[in-house]
Amino acid sequence: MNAIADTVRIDVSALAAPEPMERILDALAVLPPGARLQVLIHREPFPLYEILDRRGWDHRTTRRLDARYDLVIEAMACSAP
Amino acid sequence: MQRALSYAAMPALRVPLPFMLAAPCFALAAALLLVWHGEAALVLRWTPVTLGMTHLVVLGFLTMTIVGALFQLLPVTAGVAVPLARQVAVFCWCALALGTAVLAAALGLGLGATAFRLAAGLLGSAGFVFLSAIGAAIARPVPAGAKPLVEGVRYAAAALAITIAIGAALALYLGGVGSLNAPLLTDIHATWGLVGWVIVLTATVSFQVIPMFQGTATYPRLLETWLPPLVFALLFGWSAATLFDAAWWRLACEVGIGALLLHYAVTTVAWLRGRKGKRKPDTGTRYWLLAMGCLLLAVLLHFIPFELLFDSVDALPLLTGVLVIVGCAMSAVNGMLYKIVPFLVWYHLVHDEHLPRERIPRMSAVLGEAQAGRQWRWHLAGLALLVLACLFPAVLARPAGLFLMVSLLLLARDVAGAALLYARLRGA
Repeated sequence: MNAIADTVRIDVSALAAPEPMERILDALAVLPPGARLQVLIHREPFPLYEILDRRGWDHRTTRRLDARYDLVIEAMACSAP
Repeated sequence: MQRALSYAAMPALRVPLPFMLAAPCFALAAALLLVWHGEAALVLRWTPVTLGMTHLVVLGFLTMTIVGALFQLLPVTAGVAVPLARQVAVFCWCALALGTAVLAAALGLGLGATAFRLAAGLLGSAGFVFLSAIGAAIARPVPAGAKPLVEGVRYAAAALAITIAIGAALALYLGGVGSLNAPLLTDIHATWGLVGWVIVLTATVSFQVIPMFQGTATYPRLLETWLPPLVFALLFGWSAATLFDAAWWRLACEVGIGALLLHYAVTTVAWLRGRKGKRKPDTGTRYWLLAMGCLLLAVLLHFIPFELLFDSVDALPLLTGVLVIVGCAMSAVNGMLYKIVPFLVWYHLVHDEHLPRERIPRMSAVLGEAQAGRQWRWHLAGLALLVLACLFPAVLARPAGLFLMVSLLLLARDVAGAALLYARLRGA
């Protein structure tokens, strides 16, 4: 991961399904090259993972102390989504 | 702790969708019978047309939708796939659809002994295949977060097995095979079917889909874990007390079941009213609130000495049945269809690598709030008329049927529209 990459942050933790997924996919569609997307979300978005994998996005999820999740998405090093 | 939903094992859309497309047609047939027969359909719960309508709704609409939803819900929430899902789904769809039509016709039109035996065979085989497949799926170990859902499905499936067994015995009896106490067993059959199968499964599913689609907090773990087994145990006690004519035990079990259902309904209303961000309630929330209101009313009515208020004591079981079947279960399932169908269509379109992103509509464009809101108004008016028609059938039975027909035509059109949109985009 590029340590100096720009980070775009969105908070979808107050939204009902499927708005979090829609907002994340919208944000990825306009994400500048080399940037990464950091998402605050209230449940682990399993439906999204398969879509991200298929489209060449790398992702990792960390559970926060407040029971929400930090999801970081960026382009895979060897693929251009 | 929030549950994690896993969509890795999501079955193809053609597994659950045919169930959701067929369901409104059966309820529409019931509404048509109400318009056709008018007052005669709402005088007693024992009349042929009332029994026919009841089975069209509970088997054709409720069970049809629930079975289809389970093919989807079990893999994605518990990570357990239903074995041979496509083949099992095709067989269950055909046997359930045909069995429901034959049973409703046998009950409503008096088709004779052969039709009852055929219905028992078709519905019994659908139940056997479905329960075997579901049983095999939920026998596997599941993640800790999915345990309340799987346990709930387990108890509901056991209740369905009991309902089918008694129902098949009754159908064979009507088909001239054996002899039994039909009114007593009909009560037990209906109670296991409505409370043990439909209400327990609706509650179990609501513990997952209300937080997910309505944006509420997660349900209390205690309620999720204990509601299904306690209702199941009390239903057993109630059945034994009914069979052995132990009036006080029977009343004690009814009070216990009533208290549990009241607790569930009140919790759900509190959860929906305390949604995150205090958003304006959408149609899905209104449907759930209506379902819980009807469940509350049905439980309270069950314990009211109705004969002191009205001349007709026959109206009480009829009214309670309408509140549970149409007011609670049908409203909840109807509302869920407006969430689940567009979500499945949207998700499968997003999942399609060959479909350009700009061609994928938003979920709200697949089946939106405007369509759901329009259908909701007809459903609400139809339900209100149907409830009043239990007390004044001569005046209100046909208008109730007409309003419900419009609401179900809209539902059928909306669900079919979402399926056609999917087919069009995938085929383009």
